[in-house]
Formats: sequence, C-alpha cells, structure tokens
Amino acid sequence: MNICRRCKITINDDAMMCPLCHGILEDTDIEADEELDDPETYDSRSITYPDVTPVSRTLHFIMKLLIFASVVAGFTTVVINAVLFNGFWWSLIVCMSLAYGCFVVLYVFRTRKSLQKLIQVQMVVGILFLIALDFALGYSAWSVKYAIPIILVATDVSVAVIMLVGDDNWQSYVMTEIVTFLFSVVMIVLGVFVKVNILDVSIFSIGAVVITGLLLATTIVFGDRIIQNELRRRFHI
Amino acid sequence: MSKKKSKDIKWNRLDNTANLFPVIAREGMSNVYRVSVVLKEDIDPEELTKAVNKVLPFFDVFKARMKKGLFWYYFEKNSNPFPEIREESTYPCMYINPYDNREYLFRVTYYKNRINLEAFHALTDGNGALTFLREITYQYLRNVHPELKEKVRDSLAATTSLDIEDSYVSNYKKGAKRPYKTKKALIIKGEKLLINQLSVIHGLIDIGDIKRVAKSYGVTINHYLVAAFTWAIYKSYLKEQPSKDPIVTAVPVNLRPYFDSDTLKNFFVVVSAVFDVERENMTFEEILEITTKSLKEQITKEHLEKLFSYNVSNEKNLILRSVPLFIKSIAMRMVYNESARANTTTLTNLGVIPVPDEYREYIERFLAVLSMSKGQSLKATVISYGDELVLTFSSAFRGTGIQRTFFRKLSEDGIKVSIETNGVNYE
Repeated sequence: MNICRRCKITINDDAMMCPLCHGILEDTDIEADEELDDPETYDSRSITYPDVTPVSRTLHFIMKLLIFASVVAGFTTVVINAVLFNGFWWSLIVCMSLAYGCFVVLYVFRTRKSLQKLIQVQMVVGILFLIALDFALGYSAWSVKYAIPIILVATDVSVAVIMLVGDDNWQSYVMTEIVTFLFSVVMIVLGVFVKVNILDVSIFSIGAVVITGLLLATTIVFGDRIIQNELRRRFHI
Repeated sequence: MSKKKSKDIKWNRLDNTANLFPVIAREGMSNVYRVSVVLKEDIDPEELTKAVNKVLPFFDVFKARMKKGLFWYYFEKNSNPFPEIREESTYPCMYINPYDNREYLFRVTYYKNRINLEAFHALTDGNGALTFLREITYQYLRNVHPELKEKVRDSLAATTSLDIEDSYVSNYKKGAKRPYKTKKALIIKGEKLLINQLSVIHGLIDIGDIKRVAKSYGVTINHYLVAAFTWAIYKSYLKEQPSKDPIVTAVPVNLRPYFDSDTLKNFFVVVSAVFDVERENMTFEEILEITTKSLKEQITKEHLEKLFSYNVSNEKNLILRSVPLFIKSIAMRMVYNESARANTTTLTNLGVIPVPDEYREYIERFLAVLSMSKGQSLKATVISYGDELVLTFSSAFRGTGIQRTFFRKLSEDGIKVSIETNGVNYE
C-alpha cells in the first residue's frame, strides 16, 4: 500500500510519488536492492486508466504544410507579377484560387461533417469564388449569368441523385433543394426588380429556377407524408 | 422514395436546458460528461456490445441524432447501427463529433473492469445517463452470468422509467421574473494542460466516516463537501486573502424528487453556494456556515421553480420562438458567456446509486467525471454506491494545489481517503 504522509492519504496508483504533493510515498513495493538513483525507478502511472498516447498529428501537419505552401506560392506569383507587370494583376486570380483550394481541403478534411452540409457550404463558397473571379477579370457578368445557375442546377441534380440512390436519411436533402430554389429565385428577383446592373437575367437563370423548382415540387409531391413530416420538423417553431 | 420505414420518424424537441448545449459545444469545451461502472471482473467487449444493442432500442433519448431546424435543434430517431465498442484510448469527456459516431451523441467504451458511458449533455443529465448505464450493466451481467436469469427477468428493471417528457415545460409557472442577477465570480487561473487533456483524481471515501464528520459539523454530506471545496480554493488559491469576487460553487440540483418526475431528459437547475471573501484568515467553520446558509436559502421548491420558469417562459414566447436559429444561437452564446463568469467551479452530487441485490456482488463502484466549461477548469463530481462515496476532481490545470488542500482537509477531519488518478499528474 502506498501512503503519502504529507497528505495523509492512500494512493492506489502504481506510484512512487504522490500525485497531489509530488512527495515520495511510503511503504511501496521497492526492493532493497533496486537502484533508487535511477530516475526510471520513480516512474508513476495509473493502473485504472490507459496510458493515452497523443493523437496522431499527421493530418494536422499536412494541413499546415498546405497552407504554408499556398502562402509561399501566392507571394511568389505576386512578386513575379509585380516585377513583370504588364497592366494586369493575374496573380490575384492565382491567390484567389489558392485560397479557395485551401478552404475546400481544410473544410472537407478537418472534421467529419454531414454530406448535406458539405454540399451546401461548397455551393455557397463556390458561388462567392466565381463572383470574385468575375470581378478580378473585369466583370462581364458571366458568373451570375451562366456559372451560378449551372452550380445551382448541378447541386440540385446531385442531391436528387443522392435521394434516389437511397441514402437512409434521403428526406433531409429537401432542405438543399429549398436552398437552391431560393437562390435561383433571388437571382431572378435581383436581376429583374432591383436592376442594379450587376445581375442580368439570362436564359440560364430562368432555367435554374424552372429546374430547381420542378425538382422541389417533384420531391414534395412524390415524397408525400415523409417530406411533409420532414418539413414539419425542420420548420417547427 | 417509397421507403415506408422512415415515414413516421419519431422526433422530439430539445428540453429547455438542452437548447444551449449544441450552441456552445466544441473541441475543448465538449459538454460531455462520463458515468462509469467498475465491475469486479474484466469486461468482455463482445458481450458489452450485445448488451448495448439490446438495451439501446428502448431508450429513445439515446437512440437519437440531432438535426438543425430553421428555428430550433431537434432530435429524431437514429436508425444507424451503434458503432463498435472500443477499449478506452483517449482522455475522458472528449468532444463527440456525431459524424465520427454514426450520428449518436454518446459513446460507450471499456477499460479493464470498467464500462464508461459518455453522453452529450443535450441528451440528458447525469440521472438519465445513470439509468441507461445501469440497464446496460444489468444486461451485460445477465449475458456473462446466465445464472442471473434465474433470479431476475431478462429485461429492463421495473424501476426504470422510459418517460421522455420535458418536465421543465410540464412544471413551469407562467410569467416568472428573472430570479437572479449575473454577478462576476472568482475565476481560477493557472497553467493549463494540453487541449483535450484532462486530469482525473478519484477520491475514494468511506461513507460512514464522512457521515460522521458532516454530522459533527451539523450539516449534510453535500454541504460539508461544498464547504471543503470552497475552503480549498480560499486556502490554496487565494492564500487566505480577501477577494473582490466571491468564490461561487455551482451545485446542480436534480428536480425529479421535487416535481414528481421520472423523465429521462434533462431536469435539473443550478444553485450557487456563494462565499464573499471579505477578510483574511477565515476558519473552515465560518466558510461552512456561509456556504450552507447560501445553499439552504436556494434549495426550496419555490426557488427552484422560479429558476427554470423564467427560462421556460422565454422559450414559450411566440415572438422569441419565431427568431431563426442562427440569431438565437448568437444571443444564447452571448448570454452563456456572460453567465459563465458567475461561477468559480461546480460540485455535482449524483447521489446514492440504487442497485438490485442480485447485481450487487458483481459491482465494485460507480464513477462520474465532468468536462470543463468556460471559466471553470476544475470541477468535482460525487457519486455513492454501497459503503463508498467517490469524489472526482476533473481539471484542465497542471497544478493540483486545490485538490491537495481539499483531501488534506478531509484527512485532518479524520476521514480515510484513498485516491486513484488517470496518470496525468505524474507527467
């Protein structure tokens, strides 16, 4: 039995010293001929808990390396661009792409998330990236006219495929369908009514509203009570 | 889309307290607690897996995943199979990422002769978790000791309730006013361990000893322990000097006995033992008197009712309910950050664990461990079984001065204490 005379308590661990006051314990199982000068002899450990080894930091290191390499690459392109400047800051596009790439990798691999959340966040960040790219290239509205509607439809179709293929929790993807449909409508509304001259209504935008709307309607009609219940849960106040 | 099996997915709202936890939980502040049972024999993982899989379907509170609605989080039935039960290999009370855990919000692990149940606090409180742990343990024991089936039914215990009512809502009084003001408490600071590292020290105490000592002071065991903890902070951290901020020990109170509830969901409130440190060299007896008076004033049915009625009234307010979740989350985080400054530490007593006689010969003890929260990097949990009371300190601090002063105080009072740790304090 190990006793700490200072704290007046018994220590049940396989310990040479008290975990509270770090004083040497009395009445331990040390043999008389053991080398007490050897610090190894003073090792103390729990006998009721595992010796927890630090979680592998390999992934952490790769992520840090990725960010570092991106910063170096971005900085290098800015310097080259500045030295050989011909009136166009092309390095901005490189930096934006690197930032987008880093975000995607970090977001996907840092912690595990629901597939639906991954899809939604990728969609929103992708839209922001394309708008930024469009502006970096002098803004000709290709992002809002073509690219964003295509992203919205692509997202919606992907989700429909997931629902059909048979994810056990398929009904929850109706939320992504609602989000893509609302985004499509907002694109049209901004273009038609606000007339900020940033968003022009294109055949692609109209197509996106029609396709996302039809897919949502199809889910609601054929999903029947399953979808009704899902919406009731999601929107309960 | 004709999967009829998911047509009527069972779902339910989070209880009043649970609403906060998904908003504030993160790596390093997991809001996960652990309850464990130590058997007198090593655990067979296969039989433990069978036991969990047999018991889990009865417990809707645990067989759930959390989803995010536009206005509130909610639980729905989790149809995924429960993950493989593994040997304990991390520090206790680590953050539970549901997507690493087949969307379950609790985990079961084992180590040697101990079964651990770690639960996210949004599911239930310690009382609910202990009910589930006991059923897993009984089922496990019936599996490995078939002779037990001749003495007891091979099903859930007759004393177990599966009720999942929100007892806050069933028992609140309308129109309650805010019963407390948030006042800044002393916040203990010190060198911290690595993120997610947790120091655990179990103090094993003879119930007869502590009962005798508490009686000699004329107080209950709980009052005595709260005072000893406060005393340890005053003596070890404040060095018996006055402080402008009081030492406030949060004491969760199980509301079930007060409101005749058997719910498996959260049903507790937190009262505070407040000690205004006005002068130096105060005696233990003085501190005991102050903290006991503070607790006695608050632990009355009327006061406890007031404590949760205000929060439930807010939850019931239609205007507040209609606020989208992301705005509510910001507001809740702000309120939490403010109120987190109101407590120095927490001491929770899960009481005496009742176990049918048939199983008692197989069970050594029960343990409980709390995770850290904002401003509180040292907490204590008390749980009793048979003739033994186990007081567990969990801490994110490297130092153990407060724990040392606490246990020395108990020893000075003539209480026999032996301790077990998870080894962190030897590093």
